[in-house]
Amino acid sequence: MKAPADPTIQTEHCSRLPTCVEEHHLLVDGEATPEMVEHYEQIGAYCSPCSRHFKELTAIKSLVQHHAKPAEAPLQLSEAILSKLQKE
Amino acid sequence: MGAEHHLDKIVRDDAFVKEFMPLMKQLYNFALKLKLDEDEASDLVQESYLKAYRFFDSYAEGTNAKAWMFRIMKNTFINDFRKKSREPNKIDYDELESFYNSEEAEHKVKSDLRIDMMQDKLGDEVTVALNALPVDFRTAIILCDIESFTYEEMSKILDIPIGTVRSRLHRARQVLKEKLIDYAKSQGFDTTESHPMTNES
Repeated sequence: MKAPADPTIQTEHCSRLPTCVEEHHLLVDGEATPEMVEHYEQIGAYCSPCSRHFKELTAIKSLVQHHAKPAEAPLQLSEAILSKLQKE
Repeated sequence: MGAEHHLDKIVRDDAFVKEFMPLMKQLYNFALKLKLDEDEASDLVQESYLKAYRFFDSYAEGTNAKAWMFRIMKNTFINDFRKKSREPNKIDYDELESFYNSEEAEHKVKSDLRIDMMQDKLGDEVTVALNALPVDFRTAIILCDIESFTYEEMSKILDIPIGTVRSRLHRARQVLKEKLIDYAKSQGFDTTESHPMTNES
């Protein structure tokens, strides 16, 4: 794989970085356009600040999805709901 | 006529139970994240189901039942909160201020005994970090990352523009990153930057 020809887009001073940061959220949430996906795959993935931000974002989202423990509803909650509905 | 009405109610009740009772666990978890208290979460769930039942005729069968119920629960939560604000002896002013000012303050909800108890009981870093978020941010993260609603669905549930949905997610994740990035690394997540490769001749 070859890095993009323009080395300036791979630095911390890239003027597009704020836009890329916004797009990273769309990418992890499945809300990105095909153009955004292509841009990240072809350019962002090779850009140090972009790739670092994207990976951190992906890690945080994965942590929330997989580690936030869902609680079991109290056993009597279902019965309590149905009982109240019957009285309506 | 009485028998016919009774039969109609049975059919209606069956349709309601079939459509909405499977969502109970998800709704309870959402309520728990809003209230941070098991008993209050149960009360909120029951109240939400009652309201959904009363407005069942306005629900279009085959549409997004989950989003509809979550919206009802969100509105029930907010209405309860505002009702308590008219009973000054019963509200937690710190929590009220945090709720309404979360967009500006970006600070943790001030700890109270219920939050401390919940944190000790659950003992999970991610849950602790989530519960420490202002409720607006916490709601956005739960609806997006745990319940997998789209931005558009979240916009309708929360009755806010999609731009505000994005803004809340962005800021909530920034706060979570500050709290959890070291934990993420300890769990083996790759958060290192890619190094630009040199051009091949």
